[in-house]
Amino acid sequence: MSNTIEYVLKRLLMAILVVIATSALTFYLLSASPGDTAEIIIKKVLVGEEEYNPTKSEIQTVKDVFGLNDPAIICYLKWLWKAVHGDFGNSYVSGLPVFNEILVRLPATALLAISSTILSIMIAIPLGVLSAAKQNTVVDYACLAYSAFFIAIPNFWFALILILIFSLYLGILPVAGFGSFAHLILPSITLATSMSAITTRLTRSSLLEVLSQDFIVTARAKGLNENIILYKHALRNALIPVITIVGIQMGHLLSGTVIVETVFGWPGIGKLLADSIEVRDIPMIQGCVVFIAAMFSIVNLLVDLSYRFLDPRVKYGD
Amino acid sequence: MDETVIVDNLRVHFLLEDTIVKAVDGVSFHVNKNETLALIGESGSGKSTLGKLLLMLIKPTSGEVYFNGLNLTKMRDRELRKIRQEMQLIPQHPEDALDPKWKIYDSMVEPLRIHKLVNGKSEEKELVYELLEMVGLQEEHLNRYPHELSGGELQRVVIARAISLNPKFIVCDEPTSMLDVSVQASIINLLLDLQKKLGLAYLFITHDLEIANVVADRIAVMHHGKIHKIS
Amino acid sequence: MGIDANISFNFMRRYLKNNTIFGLAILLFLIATVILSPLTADPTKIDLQNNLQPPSLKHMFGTDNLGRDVFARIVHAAKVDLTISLVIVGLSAVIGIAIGLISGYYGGIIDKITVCLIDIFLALPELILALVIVGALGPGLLNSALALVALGWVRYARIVRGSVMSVKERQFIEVSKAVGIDDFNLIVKHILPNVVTPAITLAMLHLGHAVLSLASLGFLGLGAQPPTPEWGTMLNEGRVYLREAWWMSVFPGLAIMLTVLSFTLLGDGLRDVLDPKSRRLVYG
Repeated sequence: MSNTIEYVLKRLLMAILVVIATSALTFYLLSASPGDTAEIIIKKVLVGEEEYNPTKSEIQTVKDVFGLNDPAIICYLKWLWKAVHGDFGNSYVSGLPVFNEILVRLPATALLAISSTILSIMIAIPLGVLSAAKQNTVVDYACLAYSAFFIAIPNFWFALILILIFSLYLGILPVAGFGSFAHLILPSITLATSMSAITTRLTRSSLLEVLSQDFIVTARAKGLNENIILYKHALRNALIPVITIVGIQMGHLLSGTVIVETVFGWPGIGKLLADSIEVRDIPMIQGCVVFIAAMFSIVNLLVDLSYRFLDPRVKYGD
Repeated sequence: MDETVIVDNLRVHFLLEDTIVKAVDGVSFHVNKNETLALIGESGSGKSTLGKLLLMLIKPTSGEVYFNGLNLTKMRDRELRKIRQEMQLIPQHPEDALDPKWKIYDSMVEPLRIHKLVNGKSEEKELVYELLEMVGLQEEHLNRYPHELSGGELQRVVIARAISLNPKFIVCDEPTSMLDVSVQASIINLLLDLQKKLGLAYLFITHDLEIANVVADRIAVMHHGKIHKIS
Repeated sequence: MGIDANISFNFMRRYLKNNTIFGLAILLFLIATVILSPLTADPTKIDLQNNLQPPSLKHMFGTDNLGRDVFARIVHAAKVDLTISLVIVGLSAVIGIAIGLISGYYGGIIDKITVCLIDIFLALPELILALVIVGALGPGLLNSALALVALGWVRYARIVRGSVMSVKERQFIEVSKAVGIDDFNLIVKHILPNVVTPAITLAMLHLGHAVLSLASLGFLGLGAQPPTPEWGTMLNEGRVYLREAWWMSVFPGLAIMLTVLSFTLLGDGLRDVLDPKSRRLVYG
């Protein structure tokens, strides 16, 4: 038991390290990139013209207002100190606290992430089981083909195709936006299909592996019903590795939300990040990235723990 | 000076999961010219480690190794690489002793190429054929990969490699333990033959007293990292 | 069970074989298109009189908002996407393999730092990091490629480092050391050939991934800038005209899909031949 606690603490420490390293990297990249930050704020945010040529006093005023007088490293440490206390600074664009803005956007992203994860599992597990149960038949090949195609299909393109068919041609679903169940359908399908492609393959291969193991062979020899073997004994064991893939998919999902939220005008964190990058709203980019990194690390840790919990053979500490 | 190798109070200690393992613990002995010293001991007694220590493939924790009067433990890597021409290793597992991605020919000439002992392809080939004959292999073996040869054939290639540099001293680390009994005898005869022809000194590591009696001039018994008696 | 497993194994082989041939066919088709690309219409020639024309005999895939031939643009974009992806994969592989070799062979502090870096990079969604890097460097094809290389080496380093750790314990390494080989030759001539196989499979799968990532950045407006034809950028332009000109969006996407499909199938086939024990399913 103390092993478990030690392991969790180690992983938590690593997660914190990752988040801090990410924030440092982001900060360094954004502040070391070409163009003076103050100048960019004036051009992109305050005036909105790329060609605008700010005066020296304008730049100085902006520097004073946004606290850009210190060297980058000091700026970063100041930011880090405040961030630890829950203050992620204010957006250059709206002037509102970054933390609040992210919290406002969180429910939209969470809704999309959860609904598409559930949908992807609802597609992938039946397909994977079907594929394994009917191995080397047309059904199996069809499932594998589904998976191969959806790994290759770019989700931003699939989103456009869905809009083309269901919104523009059939006119039964909204093109973009947020607010009703109908708005949720296309974005969820886009994310779910691409996620399910990988999960289907994994369910199939791990089920096949379990089916060839000794205890299944014994169960067969005893004359147990094939379906009972498949669903009661094999599937339960096969689902363990599938859980890890859901963790790996989390990265896929978070990357996916940036694109899907942009296409469907979904007011989540992904779109917030994409928009902030376009106008170089540094505190906002910083906040989004840290938030995403933290979310990703936590989910990975939870997945890892549940994996170890479900499979007692896995040992801690290595 | 009759001693080729002198070992003085050699120790090597590893840290393994919070406990210190004294693999070799204060060992002193010497190997004379043209002599075979058999090092005998059960597995885990540290005899293989000692063999590698003599060749400086592992760095000792303390103690000295002298080779032809030179202190190997004080040498820098570059000097050591040069002196390696004169001392060689024949390892235990012939099937893993040659790079699986290299043809036998390339493995055989590697030592010559490293030490730039041959000029041009024809001289290289000549030397390889000479070596083939010395160890009893045929030309047809040269174009094959290690997995296409038997254990005995592989060990002959390894021996050919080892003698190609005209060494004075060879550590034979259980060279026959992985081979069939019938092959064992022929390899041991080959080693004894070469010793006479080339004037080699061997440290012959084995766990088999019978083999030790056949090959050795003197026998050292190793137990728990210490040498107990030399006769 | 023995016979059963054998039969299903053969089935599997045949299935994968067909897939590999299909992947190869697509790839050859793509290469042919790139070679024949000078024969198409000028991909940058603006003809506002004939903009947003649906597919016809004259314009196989129609024309875009500026009257440019969509087919010609897709073919020329193939050249851009394939070359840049190849460069991304090549550079990532070389850097990653070198780092993996050094950190796996020497261990110590270099290895600790490498492992820490690998953990940090893999603990974050790749596209998010790429977005930040390109966002910082400024949009463009070169910066996108740079960002993807900066993130791409990690997987090679990880996979190579692991293999080096086991290969360096093998006896032939020790024997070569005993002969007096120096570290550089040992690493390049003995260790590298024995660890490179999984990296080659990875590179094949990485190619597909690189095409997707590059197009994703292009789609978000951060990749190739107009008028350079690039599949993702074309989709970004086409998105605005989805209602009026579906062909501006449908065809570039199909091109991406076929390319990625081809590389994925080839990667699977390659793994099957080179590395049959591995269970790697997708790049990631």
